[in-house]
Amino acid sequence: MRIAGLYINGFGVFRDIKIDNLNPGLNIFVGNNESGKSTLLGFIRSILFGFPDGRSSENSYPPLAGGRHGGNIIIFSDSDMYIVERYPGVRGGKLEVLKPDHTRAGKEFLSHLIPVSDRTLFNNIYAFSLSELQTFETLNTESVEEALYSAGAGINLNALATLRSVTEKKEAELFRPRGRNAKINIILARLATIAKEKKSLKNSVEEYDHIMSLIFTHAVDIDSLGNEKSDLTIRYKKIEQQSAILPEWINLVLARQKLDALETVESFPSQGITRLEGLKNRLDDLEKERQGKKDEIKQREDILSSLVIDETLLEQISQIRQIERDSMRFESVDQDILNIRQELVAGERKLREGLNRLGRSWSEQILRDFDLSIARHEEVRKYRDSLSEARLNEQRKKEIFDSMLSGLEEADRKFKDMEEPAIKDPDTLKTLKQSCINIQQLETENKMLNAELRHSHDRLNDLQEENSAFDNIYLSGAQNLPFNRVYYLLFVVLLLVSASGFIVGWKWGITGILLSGILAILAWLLRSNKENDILKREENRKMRSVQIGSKIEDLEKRISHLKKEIAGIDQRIFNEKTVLSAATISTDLSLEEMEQSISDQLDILYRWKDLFKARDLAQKRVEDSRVEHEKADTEWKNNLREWQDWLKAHEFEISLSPEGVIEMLSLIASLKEQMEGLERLRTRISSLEKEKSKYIEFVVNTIESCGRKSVGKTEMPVSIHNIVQDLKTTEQAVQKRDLLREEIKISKESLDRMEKQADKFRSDIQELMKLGGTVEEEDFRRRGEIFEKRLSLKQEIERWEDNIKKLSREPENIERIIEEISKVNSKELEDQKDLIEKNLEEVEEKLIALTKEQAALEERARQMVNDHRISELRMEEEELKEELTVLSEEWITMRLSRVLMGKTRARYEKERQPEVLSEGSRFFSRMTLGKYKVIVSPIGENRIEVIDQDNNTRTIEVLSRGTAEQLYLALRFGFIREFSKRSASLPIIMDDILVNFDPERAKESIKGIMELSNEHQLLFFTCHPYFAEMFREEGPNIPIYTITEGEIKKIK
Amino acid sequence: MPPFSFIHTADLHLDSPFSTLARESTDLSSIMRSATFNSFENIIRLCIEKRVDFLVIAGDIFDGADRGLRAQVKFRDGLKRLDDAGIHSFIAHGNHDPLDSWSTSLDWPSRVHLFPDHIETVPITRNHELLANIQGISYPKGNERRNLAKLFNKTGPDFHIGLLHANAGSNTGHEPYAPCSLEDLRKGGMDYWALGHVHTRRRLSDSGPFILYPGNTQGRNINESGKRGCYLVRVDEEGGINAEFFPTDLVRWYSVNIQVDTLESEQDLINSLNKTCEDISINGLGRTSIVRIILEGNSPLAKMLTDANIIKDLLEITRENGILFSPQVWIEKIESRARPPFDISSLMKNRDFVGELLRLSKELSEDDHFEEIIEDDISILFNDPKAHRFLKPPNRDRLKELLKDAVMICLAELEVDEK
Repeated sequence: MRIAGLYINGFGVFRDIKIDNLNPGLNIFVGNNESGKSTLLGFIRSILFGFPDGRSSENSYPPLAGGRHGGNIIIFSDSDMYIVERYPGVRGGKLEVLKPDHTRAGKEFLSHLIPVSDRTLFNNIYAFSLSELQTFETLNTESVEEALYSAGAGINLNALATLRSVTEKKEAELFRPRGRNAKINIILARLATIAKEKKSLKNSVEEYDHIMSLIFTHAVDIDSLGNEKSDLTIRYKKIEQQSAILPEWINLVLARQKLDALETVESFPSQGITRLEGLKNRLDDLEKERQGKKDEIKQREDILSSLVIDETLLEQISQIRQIERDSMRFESVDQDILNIRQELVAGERKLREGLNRLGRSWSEQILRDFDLSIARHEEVRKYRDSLSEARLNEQRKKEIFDSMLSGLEEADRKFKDMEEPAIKDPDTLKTLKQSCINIQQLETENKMLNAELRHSHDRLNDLQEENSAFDNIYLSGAQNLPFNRVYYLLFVVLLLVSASGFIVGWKWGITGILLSGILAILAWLLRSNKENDILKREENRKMRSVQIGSKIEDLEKRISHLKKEIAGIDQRIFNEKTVLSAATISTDLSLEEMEQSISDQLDILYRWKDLFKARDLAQKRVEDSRVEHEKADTEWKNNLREWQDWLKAHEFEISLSPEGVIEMLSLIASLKEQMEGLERLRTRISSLEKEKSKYIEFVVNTIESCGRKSVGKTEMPVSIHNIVQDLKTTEQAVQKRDLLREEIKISKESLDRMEKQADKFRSDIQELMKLGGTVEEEDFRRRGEIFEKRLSLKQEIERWEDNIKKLSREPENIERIIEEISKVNSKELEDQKDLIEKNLEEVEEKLIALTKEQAALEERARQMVNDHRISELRMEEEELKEELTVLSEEWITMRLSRVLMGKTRARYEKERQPEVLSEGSRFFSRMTLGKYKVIVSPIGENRIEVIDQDNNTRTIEVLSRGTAEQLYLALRFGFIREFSKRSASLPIIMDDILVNFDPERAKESIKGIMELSNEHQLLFFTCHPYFAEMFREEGPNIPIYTITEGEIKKIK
Repeated sequence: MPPFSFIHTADLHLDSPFSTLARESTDLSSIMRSATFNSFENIIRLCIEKRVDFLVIAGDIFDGADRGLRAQVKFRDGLKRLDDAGIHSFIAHGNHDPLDSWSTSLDWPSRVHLFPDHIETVPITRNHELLANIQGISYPKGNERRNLAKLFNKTGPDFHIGLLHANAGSNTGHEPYAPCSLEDLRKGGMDYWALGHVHTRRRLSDSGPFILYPGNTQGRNINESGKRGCYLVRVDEEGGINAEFFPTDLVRWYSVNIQVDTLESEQDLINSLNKTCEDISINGLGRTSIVRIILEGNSPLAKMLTDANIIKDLLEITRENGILFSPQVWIEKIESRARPPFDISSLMKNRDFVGELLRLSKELSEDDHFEEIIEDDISILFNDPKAHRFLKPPNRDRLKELLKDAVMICLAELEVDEK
């Protein structure tokens, strides 16, 4: 790490100062006293480690020249640039580190950036002034030591310090002797409290025992009070009982006295008087009833004697009943006969009408005999079918014949409409047509041959022209060679140039000759080439001329052949035309028209032939169909004749069709049914007539038997009615007579029973009075009353006795109780009752109080038994002890880690310090020009001694001031070397530390400082310009800055 | 002799506090407060269910002189139920509940026999037939140092049961109250020694005589982990003895070591912790479990685990998960013995500060005078007038562990690179 530059905003005398590009090695700052060197040191310390607070002895350098207190330092670490900026704020000022990625960080990041985070360490080892240099103690502070060991341990320079502070802090959190708030202290305090609480709760057993004894004595007291209370209660109840019984007892005594005063009637019939009264009343009632009954019998006997009865009617009773039953039937039969007759007349008329419809000859007899079998129906149906079939056939044939006839007419008309063609042979027409076609072809061929002939003539002319043209070319061929002159001209020019070249120098001349030679050879070659071409072409021309000559010959032959051919064709055309003209075809027409006319004639001929054929065919068909029709007509007529014969045979009109006959057959069937119905009606009338006369005979006989006068047919219904009514009256009279007789009999029996009952009542009365010990009714009544009174008194006595028994609740001791009661009076009883009541109340009160107290004690005992407090305390105690163990072990761990560290350090000190000392010795020996050899630190002692070249040991105290300062400087160099073995390098700042060195030692020290500046950046402040010069002597390029009046400038 | 059976129990330590930081869980607090009582209740139930002839209790019914009345009354009530069921109880008192610590006002049921401070022999019969003679003695005071076993002697040919609270043999890990040797017990002529005092069940001899410590009935701290209960002893016509153990504990303690070597992240660790809880819950057979988890091994996680707050967070997370199980699993503590994966042996060889530190710590822990060397350093806490009542310095082994922890703190703070 190194400081690349810094910016002071306001710090001591400086304001707005900027230094750039500080040398990575040594930098010298020269300035007079109070120019601001220490201020600059203070600035660097403050920016890196914070502004010193009020407690610090360091100067805080307020901005005397103005500006904002603070500024920034540009740091390079591992070639990355960081800007550390600090301005006033809490805890050493507000710090910001601007990182290369332009993010900002704080204190923690800075501590990573600078391997030393301890201000003291930095001040004492890295950025020191004369004052720090002059004391050994500054090298001996804890932080320096720890840093030393940390560095030696290969660990972070601050780790040991952190470990110490962390463990100390944790230890303190866990336990502080005589402390209060550390965790263990808190628990210990709580445990002490628990112990006290437990002690106080421990006495509960004694208290419980005491309570239990109290509960016991109380229980005894409660028991005796309870006994007393129950005694008093018993007594109180007894007196209450006596008070209740006393009035009952008095009533009892009174009732007994009344009973004793009455006449003794030992026995009397139960309900005697009431029973006597009852018997007497019932006897009276019975007498009245008897009289009523007698009157009733007399009345009924009178009615009986007045009744009249016809015995003859009664004898004929069954016959009269039958007449009555049948009279209705008789009337309806009469009516039925009338109705049926009317129906019969109507039926007969209808039948006659039906017969008339069949024919005049049809009678009922014919109708009856007519066969209406299914066979007959089938016969008629067969005729109907054959007739209609034959008829249908005939009609169809007729229709065919008619259509054939009209077809013939049509064909005939068409044939006659068409004209008859001139030529009737089609082959003739076809030949003519072919001639036309032939002529056309021949004419075409003729044209083509003529065209070829013309072409052959043209070709011949061309060849002849070509032949003459070849001759011309040959004549002008050899004169044409113009370019050869150019070559000759160039050759000459080059020769001239070559010559002039020789004049100038021999080289150029030879070149020109060579070029001319090449050109000459080239010209010769080209020329011979041209001559060869001309000879070849001459030969070609000759060959070509021969070829054209032969071609002309061929053509001339061809032309004569063509001319012959054309003449042949012309002859053939002439022939064909002759044929056509012979066939009356107009030769005026063109060939195409002629061909078309022949084709039309051919079509017409074909159509005429087709029509001719069609007329013949139609004539033949007409003939065939007429024969067919005649045949069908004959067949139909035969069938008709057969049918008419059948009609005659069966007495039908011969004009009837089979359908008509079928209809007639169904009419016959219906008439037959009607006729049968009429027969049935006639039979029914005769049967009804018989039934009627039989009934009349029966009625007449019966009436006569009853002694009544015989009657005619007309009066019969009246007579029947009368006799029936008489029978009814007689029957009623008989019924009434029987009833009366029965009633009289019953009434007489009842009268007898009443008589007996009355006798019984009378004997009962006698018996009753006898039981009452008397025969006198009056005496009977008196004795009865006495008896009743005695009875009621006895019941009363019984009731009182019962009440007393109930009240006493001790029926077995009733005698004793009665005896006791007989001795007391109500006043005494009341007094006793009051007294006991009072005693009882007192006992009750005592008991309640005691029970309450007992309940409270028991509750207390229960509470004590169920008291969780001691368990809870013990549980808490146990838990706390457990926690205490845990915390104590944690504390031991912290303690042990500190112990371990301390012991390691002590041992390490012994072994590691020599390395610092040996490094320091090397520097010291050099600075003192070999006067002193070694620095030593006695084991276990916190001091330094030196050994000189004569091996004498010297303590610091005896060294001169300058030598001591050299010693301390050397030791610092030793420390720095030792640190830098393990951690990144840090810039070193030295503030005028050489002032007390003599020039030689100063020179050697400067060499040492320069050696150190190879590994560390070094800022050296001095007020002595000659120190700067001494540095320059050793290193001419060392940058030097001057500090004057708040300005810092680099010397060029 | 007719066959008979009895229950042998001891060290009920009724109303005894639990050593755990469980106040944070109200549910668990209440379960634990009544756990010793419920364990006793289980014993009473077992007596009735198995229709035993009697129950013997070999001392330490209560935890100490400051036991609550509640404990005494609940104890009496339990015995009352046995009395109602016609079952006898025989009690000898031990160091935690000597005779002088009992309430005088408790009235004991008629079938309860408390042995006095001198040897007494009580015959126990069934239908007028002698089953056995029970010989016993109670501690008059807590600090009984006599060899009480020597006072026992067989009175006849019948089956004899010796009931005694004693420290039989040496090295029991318990205070040497009424110390005696196995030989002393053999000489007493008892057929069965019903002992109490040692909290871990132990069968000292299977024959001539049968000597048994049933252990305590409910584990109360991590040192009392595993099953706790009583023995059902069956004696046949020939005097043959069969003792069967029945667990009666309501809450069971477990100490589980988790290797963190293979764990890579905090989440891995949480998963592993949750899995442990789940396994324990399944194995708990309906009991609430209290678990101490010890993280062991070398792991990059170790550095993180040195942070008490992280351990606290892990504990909270695991507890939140644990209480969701049924029965619940309560993590009493998570202790990290995990070490960062420092290459100690190669670091130790270095000639630097760290090497020096490691060498020094090794020398220190191997030193015979290790405790004395560091005594002064830690005495400030252990000699503190307020602390010494409650705190004792850890033993040598523990101190060595703590020294290792201290080394790890140093290495971590010194920012030594891990493997």
